[in-house]
Amino acid sequence: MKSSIQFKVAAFLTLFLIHLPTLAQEDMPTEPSATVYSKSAAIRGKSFYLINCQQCHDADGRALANIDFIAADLTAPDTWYYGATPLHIFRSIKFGAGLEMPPFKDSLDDETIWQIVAHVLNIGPVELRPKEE
Amino acid sequence: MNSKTRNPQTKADQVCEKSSEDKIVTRRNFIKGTALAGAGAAAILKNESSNAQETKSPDIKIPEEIPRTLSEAAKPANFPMTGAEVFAKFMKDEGVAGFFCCPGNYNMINAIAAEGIPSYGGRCEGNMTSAADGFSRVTGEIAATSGTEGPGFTNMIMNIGAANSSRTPLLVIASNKTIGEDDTEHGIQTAYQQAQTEGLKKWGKRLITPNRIYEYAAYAFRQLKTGVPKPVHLDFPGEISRARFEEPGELQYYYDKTRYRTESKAHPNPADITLAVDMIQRADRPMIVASTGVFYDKAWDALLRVAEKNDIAVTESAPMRGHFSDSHALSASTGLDAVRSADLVILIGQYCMPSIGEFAFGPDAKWIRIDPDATDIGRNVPIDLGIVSSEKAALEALEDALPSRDRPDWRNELAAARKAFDDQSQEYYSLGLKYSADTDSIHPAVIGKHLHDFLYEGDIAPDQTTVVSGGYGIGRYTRRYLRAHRPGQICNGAYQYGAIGPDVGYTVGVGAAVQNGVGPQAPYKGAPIVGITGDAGAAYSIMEFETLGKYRIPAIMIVYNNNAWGVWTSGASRGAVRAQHMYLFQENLRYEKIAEALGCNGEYVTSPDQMTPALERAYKIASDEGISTLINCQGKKEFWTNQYPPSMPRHFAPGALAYYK
Repeated sequence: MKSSIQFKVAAFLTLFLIHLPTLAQEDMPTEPSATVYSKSAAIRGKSFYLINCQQCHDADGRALANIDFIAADLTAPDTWYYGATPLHIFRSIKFGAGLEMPPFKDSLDDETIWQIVAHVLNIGPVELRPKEE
Repeated sequence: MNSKTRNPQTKADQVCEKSSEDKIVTRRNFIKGTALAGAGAAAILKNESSNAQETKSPDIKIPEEIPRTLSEAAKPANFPMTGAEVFAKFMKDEGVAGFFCCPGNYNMINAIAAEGIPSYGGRCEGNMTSAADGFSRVTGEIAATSGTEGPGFTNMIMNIGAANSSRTPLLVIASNKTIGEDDTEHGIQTAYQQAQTEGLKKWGKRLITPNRIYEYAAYAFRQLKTGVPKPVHLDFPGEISRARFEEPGELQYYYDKTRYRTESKAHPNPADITLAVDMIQRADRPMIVASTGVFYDKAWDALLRVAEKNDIAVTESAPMRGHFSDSHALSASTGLDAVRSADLVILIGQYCMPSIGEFAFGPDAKWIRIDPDATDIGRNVPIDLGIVSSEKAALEALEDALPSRDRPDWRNELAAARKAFDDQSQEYYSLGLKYSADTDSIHPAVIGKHLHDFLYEGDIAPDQTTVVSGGYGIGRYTRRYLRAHRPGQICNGAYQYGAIGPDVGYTVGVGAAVQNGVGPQAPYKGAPIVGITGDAGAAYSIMEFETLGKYRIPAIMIVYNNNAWGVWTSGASRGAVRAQHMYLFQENLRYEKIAEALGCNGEYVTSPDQMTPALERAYKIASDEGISTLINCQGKKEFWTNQYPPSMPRHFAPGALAYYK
């Protein structure tokens, strides 16, 4: 099951390769945590998401209500600018992205960030959602 | 009143002007240049003939008619009266404490002034609406605003919307041509008003029957003085305001106010109070959210007694702050970690109800909501217990029913949370000093910290200064450093409508409230006040510095000038092209010179070391001469990006950092 998801993620990555920024970053893992494939991790990640992310991205991830700036629609990874793989999502959360997305490296540990990544995947396209119990 | 003699140029000022002289371009050349070069051109503009004109210009002065007519004795109307006089007398009898307008609706505004209601005339109806809103928010009293029909009224719309979100008991009166000319478009300025305030008011009416003016005044004040307040909008065609009444019998429903409305308020069901006490006793970390209704019901003493009797924490969420002091050991307004930890939330008078996620309470917290309006209880946040009651009555019932209890662990947690918040504020200040030095400007954290030290750590009594806490990005920082020690000490500028622009209007109204010592402002009568806004917001209402100057309302207005709209990053990221120019202003604009040109004082601050001296000079001239100052604080738009963490801090509610709700 995991390899199937990884294949689809890889295919998705290929589609948007031109947009992907480098992942080179100190303290940046080279492989995604197995957490991102876990449905239970996604459920835990939702709580952390609601505390840390919904102010900009809204509770449903679509960022329709944000009046402060244009935040990414987390349900539509084909519109993202800073990468859509689990590693890229992890990097954006941990180190920030663009002008506005703040880094959370000082307030969230890696495991929590991976759980949020799992939640973000879980509200996106069906084929990318965590499948493992 | 020559501002230059009062306000010698700073070194930075001189440097800036020298720089300007080195690079003067004419407006024509600038336009030509930008047309040729396209977007991205930078230029410094200077009116080459301005110095010559300045030397010949007469002094700004207040005409003798202003102080003379302000000091005239009131002349209350008696029968025979016009419709306008009947209504103005009604307002006076109901205790309307402040009136803010622009000319138009002449019969009405003259009648109101003649009744002796403190009246102010400003430069834009919208700002005067916000002045009335701000006045109510720090006094708890009803204020009124007026504009002329058509354009004057439509100028008020945004500001009525802001008052509506703040649940302000604001009386909006506007003239409106004549009934006899309805639909003809005869003359000018005709418009249907009531439809335009739909969704922005509690109640409204176009008056069409002259002898019902007293009756409808009673309708208006029943709405303003009972239940959950919101703006009430009446429009007055000429047939109404100019009608004449020889004696009371010509007016319908001409009863005394003890008969057309009641002072009675809803009291809680004892069974509900029993349930609430049980929930509070079972909770380890109960927290009251003291909101709008606590202030307007003047329930702050009862709130204090309840909190202290059972060691219940209190945080604030409202368009005004101070009904529970930030300095109290049970305050959670600056204890954000404690908000997340609370296991029982008691919303009292939370008129503008948050939706799920807008408040930072944990998902497992239980909820009690106490509100005068049963129809709103249960909206947005599912409740565990709802209590229909006036805020004061419910708090007094809780005080009677709750046992005394000490919660030392909860108090310790609150203290730790406040310390963590203060430590973070100090960290932001240190970062702000570094960023300021790196950029030759002043970071918002530095503005906030210096203002804090000036207002609360120096010679001024910490509870003295009333503050309009406005602005967009700047507000994300200054809210962190402002403190409220008594009711009505902070007017939360934006609140739920999120309007950018009313802050100088609020400052006029709040300043008038303190100038006259109305309600909770009485002990601080005449003290200077402080307002905070951004450069985007200032532009909407900066002309009201003329109103501040004209009435000698002593205010210090901090304008954070970062050369851009606060949302400018939206034009610079996520693939935006040809968009950035729409979000930016010319750089280094001199807003303080506008204040000087309007009869007030100006300061330009470009580094941290200039901030406190500017505040000291501004406070002195406000105290000694009643003259307001605009302090133009030069920042950088890039402070809102990740290049300068924490960039624009996200809002956190409820509590001191609440931007909405």
